Amino acid sequence: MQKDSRTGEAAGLTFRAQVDTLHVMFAYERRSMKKLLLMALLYIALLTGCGGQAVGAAGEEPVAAELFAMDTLMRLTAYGENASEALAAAEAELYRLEALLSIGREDSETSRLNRDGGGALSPDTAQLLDTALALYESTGGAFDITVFPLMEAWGFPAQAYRVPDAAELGALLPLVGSDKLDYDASAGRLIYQAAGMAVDFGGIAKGYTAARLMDIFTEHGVSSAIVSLGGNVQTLGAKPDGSLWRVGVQDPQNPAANIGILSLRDVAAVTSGGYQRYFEEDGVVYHHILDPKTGLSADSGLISATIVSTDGTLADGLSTAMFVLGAAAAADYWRASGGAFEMVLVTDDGGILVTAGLTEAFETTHDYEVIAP
Amino acid sequence: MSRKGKAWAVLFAVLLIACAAAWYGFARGSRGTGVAGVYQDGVLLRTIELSAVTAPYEFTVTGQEGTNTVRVDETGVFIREADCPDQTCVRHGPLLEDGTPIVCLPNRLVIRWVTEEDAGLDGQTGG
Repeated sequence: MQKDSRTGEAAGLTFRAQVDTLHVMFAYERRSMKKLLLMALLYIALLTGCGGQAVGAAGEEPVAAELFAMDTLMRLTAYGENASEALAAAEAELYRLEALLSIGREDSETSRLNRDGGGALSPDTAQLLDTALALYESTGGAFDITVFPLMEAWGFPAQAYRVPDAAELGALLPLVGSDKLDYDASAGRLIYQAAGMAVDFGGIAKGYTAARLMDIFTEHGVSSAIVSLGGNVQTLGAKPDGSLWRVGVQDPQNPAANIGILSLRDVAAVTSGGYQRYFEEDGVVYHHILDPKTGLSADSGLISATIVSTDGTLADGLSTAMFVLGAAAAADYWRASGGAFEMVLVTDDGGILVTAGLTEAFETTHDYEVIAP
Repeated sequence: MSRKGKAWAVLFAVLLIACAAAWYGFARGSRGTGVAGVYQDGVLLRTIELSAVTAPYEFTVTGQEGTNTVRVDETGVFIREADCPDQTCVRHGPLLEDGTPIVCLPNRLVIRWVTEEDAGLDGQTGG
């Protein structure tokens, strides 16, 4: 509350924040009656000046839901009169999308496509495929939904980890490449060019879902909400008191702590890193973000890539792609993107790089370098 | 060594240890003094008031895929042992002030600050 009252404007303070502020004032100014009187007067002025607003804001308690879906922990928080209905609809939507996209379910659309070597696409899958193919093109193949046969070879989906040898990877690499997907957008049909190919929308599914949840909140009249779907955060509006959402970016070298905090509204923030899902064998660390070109864990010198964008699906896909590309290529890609996104990169020597458009929103105790336009 | 010299040496050693401890705490982040909640499938199993912890203790939580051993000591609350293959929760380390929640996906176990005031943040990205 103190943090809110410090950053928020007086008119945006909630009633509780005002009371807390007064308590703090009493604690600090106990010895000075003059100052105390002044503070009391100021407090009365605050109450009378924005009393109506304060009561309205105090009525907006958050409604939150925590659940496990899409192989991750999700937390949805919404404010306002319709928050409960909006959350119920949001939960239903994310279970629907999970059933549609989950590669672990036999009856999902993804599993059907992979079994049949393609087929008809539902509107959601068609939209995901559009984004996936555009990202494949623009990132030079760094983002690729056809990497799944390699993921299986490494045992990541089933958590049955193993290190495939060069011959095994060599045999699988010809099955990887989104340029081997024939997509007829007008007919809504997808055909795999080679037997044994498989797609997985996991690299953008959570981003797409988070963006869909924002639509559902808006449809229900909610204007202030935040969702955390694993490493994917997306925000709708600002907090009811007008202050920004404070979103921590996990420290890849100390997962218990944050490397910095982003103050955001109306955007998605997504981090990709190799520090949560990995295994070790013979002293070597193998993480789950594979370079589609080599079939090995991406080794670009980055240990974390965080993307901030108004487009949740794009943010999700780009976080993976920039992680694979590395700092220099990611900076070039950002410069060419025309402000579609901003990013925070962490290099394996602990260096932090922040794009120029994000320096005001990013707060950290560490030194960082600014990526200039 | 004279008595005075010994006293100085002891004082110096104490100061050195205190500085090292402070530095370590600073470098690793503070464990916080809030109330941590242990949740399974969204249900609050128990709370831990960190400022009231006087002696280390452990307890286990059993889920669908196995058991997590949770330890509470001077470094805070953390998962000491888990019998799942990914070990993400063990590698996470303790719950810190303004830090990230501890999550064990296989057992649907979450250890996080109970109130938003204690959590300090509205969201968390990571990968």
